[in-house]
Amino acid sequence: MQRRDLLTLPLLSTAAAAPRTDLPEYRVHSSYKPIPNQGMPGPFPGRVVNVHSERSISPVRTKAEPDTVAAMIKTGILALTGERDERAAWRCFIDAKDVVGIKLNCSGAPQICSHPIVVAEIVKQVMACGVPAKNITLYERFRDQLNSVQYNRYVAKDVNVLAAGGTRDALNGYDPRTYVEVDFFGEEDTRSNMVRAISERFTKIINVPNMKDHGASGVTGCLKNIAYGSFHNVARSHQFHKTNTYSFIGTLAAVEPLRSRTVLHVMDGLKGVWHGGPFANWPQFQFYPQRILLGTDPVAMDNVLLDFIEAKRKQEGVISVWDHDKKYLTRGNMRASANLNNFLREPGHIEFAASKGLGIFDRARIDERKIEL
Amino acid sequence: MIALLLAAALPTFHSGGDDVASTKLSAPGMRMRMNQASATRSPWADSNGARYLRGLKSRALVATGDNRADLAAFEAYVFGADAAIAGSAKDKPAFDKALAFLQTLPKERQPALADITFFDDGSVEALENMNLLLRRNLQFRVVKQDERGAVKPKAGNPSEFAYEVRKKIGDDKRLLRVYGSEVVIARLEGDAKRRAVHLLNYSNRAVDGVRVRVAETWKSVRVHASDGALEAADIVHEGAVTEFSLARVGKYVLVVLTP
Repeated sequence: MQRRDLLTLPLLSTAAAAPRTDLPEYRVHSSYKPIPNQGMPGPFPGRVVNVHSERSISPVRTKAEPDTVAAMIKTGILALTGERDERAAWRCFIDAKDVVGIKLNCSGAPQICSHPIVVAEIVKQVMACGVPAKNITLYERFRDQLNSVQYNRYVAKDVNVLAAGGTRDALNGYDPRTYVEVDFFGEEDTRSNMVRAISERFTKIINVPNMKDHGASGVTGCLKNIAYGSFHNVARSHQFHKTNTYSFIGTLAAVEPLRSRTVLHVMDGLKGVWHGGPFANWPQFQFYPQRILLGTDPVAMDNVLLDFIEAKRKQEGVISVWDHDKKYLTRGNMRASANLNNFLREPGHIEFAASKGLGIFDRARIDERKIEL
Repeated sequence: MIALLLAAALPTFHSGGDDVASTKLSAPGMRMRMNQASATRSPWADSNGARYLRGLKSRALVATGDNRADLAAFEAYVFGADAAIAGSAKDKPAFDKALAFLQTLPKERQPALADITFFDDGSVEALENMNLLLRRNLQFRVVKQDERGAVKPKAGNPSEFAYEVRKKIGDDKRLLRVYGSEVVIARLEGDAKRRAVHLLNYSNRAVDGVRVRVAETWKSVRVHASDGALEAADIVHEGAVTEFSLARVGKYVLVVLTP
């Protein structure tokens, strides 16, 4: 029996052990071949470096401390790679000839997003590998969210800041030849196209998610950020209280060339959301994990994130993200109680992603290295 | 494939108040309204297409609503309707511009092409069925007498009806598909030598990018856009299908494909 089944057993009773039969039929359209020995799950499957520092951000002043953040990232990349030299560690992933995309998370911006101090430090390290600023692009899907953070104030002036779609539903900016086709609820537009810069420009991608609960997927970490944040027309996977994040996230993340080019994940956990995610509309559900996770295996990292969010929710005395009791369903009234949610969450998407070869899900095989600074 | 020849009449402008000899139609457009049961916003299209396809007993007199004289004119043209666009002096410039554009288009219209035949029994349900078939960009022709193989009207949820029809046809077998927009209604015409794809944008703003898929291989893709110069991009021929992208769809775009 898998962990997911075990946790839902009291609610699903006899149906719990049955294999899922409600998965949509996906058709992946991509001409890109996998790059051998590159991309998810990368050279360190199962390894998660979890660096915590109380000095990283002040819950009172809500200001990140750049020197501490830099030290956390340095410590983390050394622990991840086993290298002694910071430059050598970064060069395990980035070469001077690379064109680097940095996938941000701005769905809760400006309150909670890939922190610009974290992003600035990553840019600095990529440039130290010899990559010119003009070959670095910070990207996210929606311009309004991206603009609210003003990343350009924190990085070298030639670094590109790209919103894949100018307007919310714009197809421009996406690759017409690389997409996943699926019909979830009878929607007419059955395609989700990949961000064009991923397939046509970037040679490497660094993923910078946050530590957040997600109303549909349970948590939004490495997998959700790189998947839903790199394709067009993905919100269609939810309707009424049903969400198809269980299988859609892993399916999207595994599409080439996204899978092969995503070489590193730096999870910004300075500030987080334990309910109401991915947005950050309600301060009472925000918190300060004061940590940064690094790894090449998004499944292992999200498994650690899932435990972290679950522990926080338990501490707050609210239901698990695995809970599928329909009495907790609401329509937009999630602020009233952290037990209420719009969807039946699908944290099982992490295990599904493991089945797509994106990483290690088995907790016993995950090598979590906790470091205190 | 089923073909039906369209008239090629151009609409006229009417500023003289109500005309009793005409069939009054409302202004075309798009309303964004919250679907109470869904997490997403579903735009609602106000289209006269189904009325045009059913056929009118007298000339259409189409309201222009809020700056919709051009869309009303384009819609009437696409559906081959005999229509007057009823507006005030402020609507006239937009109508004139639309008419001037229509006059630049190829004079010859090809027959409308359809995946299915729909039996219109004149009922309210049939009109709603046709409305949703149009809304989902399903290509159909209308017959007034039931005939073998024709899809019959169905009461109930017209959206579910349209989905049933779509599944029956099969997405891969459809003559035309449009990706990237919920506010564009597309109609297909053609003969052995060409295809004409009409794209009507019912929203208030231009659509930033659509992808169009047309059955069969067409090497030449020529674009006529009401809102300025536009070219097809990323043209792909794969199997027996032609695909192309349009970076911007204003009120109306006609794409002519030839071998």
